[in-house]
Amino acid sequence: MMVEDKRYATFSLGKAVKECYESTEIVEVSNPPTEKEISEVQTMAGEYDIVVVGTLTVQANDAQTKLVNAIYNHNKNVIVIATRSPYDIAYLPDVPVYINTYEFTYPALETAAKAILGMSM
Amino acid sequence: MEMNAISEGIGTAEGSVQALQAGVDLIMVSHLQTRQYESINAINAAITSGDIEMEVLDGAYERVMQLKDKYLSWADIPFHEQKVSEYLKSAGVGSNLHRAESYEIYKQGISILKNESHLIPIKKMVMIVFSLSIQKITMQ
Repeated sequence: MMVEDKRYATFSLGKAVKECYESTEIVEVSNPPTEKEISEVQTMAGEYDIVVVGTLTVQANDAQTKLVNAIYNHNKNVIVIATRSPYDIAYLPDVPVYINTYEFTYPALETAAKAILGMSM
Repeated sequence: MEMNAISEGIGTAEGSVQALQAGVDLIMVSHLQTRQYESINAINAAITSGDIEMEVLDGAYERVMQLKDKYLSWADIPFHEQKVSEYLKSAGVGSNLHRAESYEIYKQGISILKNESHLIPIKKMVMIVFSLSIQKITMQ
C-alpha cells in the first residue's frame, strides 16, 4: 500500500549536497542496489576524498549494507546519512561519520548537507 | 484511519465510529473509496442506533467549519508573483520567517551520532554522493 506522497519518490540528497558544494559528483543507485552497481561505485569511491551515502532503513546483510561496506573498503572517509530509520548505524559500525535525518524531505537533507559542509542557511 | 495499525486492527470503519465517540472532530479516510463508504455507513448506523448522538456529529462539524473560517481564506493565498514576494516578507504560513524557523528546528532535530576524527565539517574536498532512488515507499 502506497500511502506517502509521490513527491517524495525522488531522492534528492545528491541535489541538496551539490547545491551547497558544486564539485560534488552524484551517483544514483537503485533500491536495493544491484551487484553491478555496488561493484561500479566501489571503484569510483577510491577516487574521491569524501563519500556521502544516503541510506534508507538498512537491514542486516542487505544490499545497502553491502554497498556501504564496499565503499568503506575503498575509502575510509565515508559519511552515512540515514534518511528514514535512525537505527542504520547498528548495521554499519565501521563508518566514521553518521547522521540521522529521520526523514527524506528536501529541507532535512539540505540541513544535513549544510552540517557536513559547516554551512548555515 | 487507513494505517495498518488501525485498518488491520480495529478496522477503519469501526475505528471511525470509536474516534467520533472519543471526541475526534475530523476523520480522514483518504486512500480507498471502499473504506470511505464503509466508514460512512458505520457512522450512519451508529447514529441510527443511538451509539453516536447527532449532536456529537453536529458539534464536530461546527468546530471544523469554525476552524476553516478562521484559517482558510482563498484571498490570503498568494497566486501572483508580486504577491508572493510580499507574502514571503509577512509572518504567514510558508513565509521567510517560517522558513528560517523551520531550518532552525531541522538543525536541532537532525543528529550527528558519530564524527570520528572530526571529519565534518569538511572543507575543499572532492565529494561523491550515492543516493538511493526510491521507487515506492511502503508504510507498514
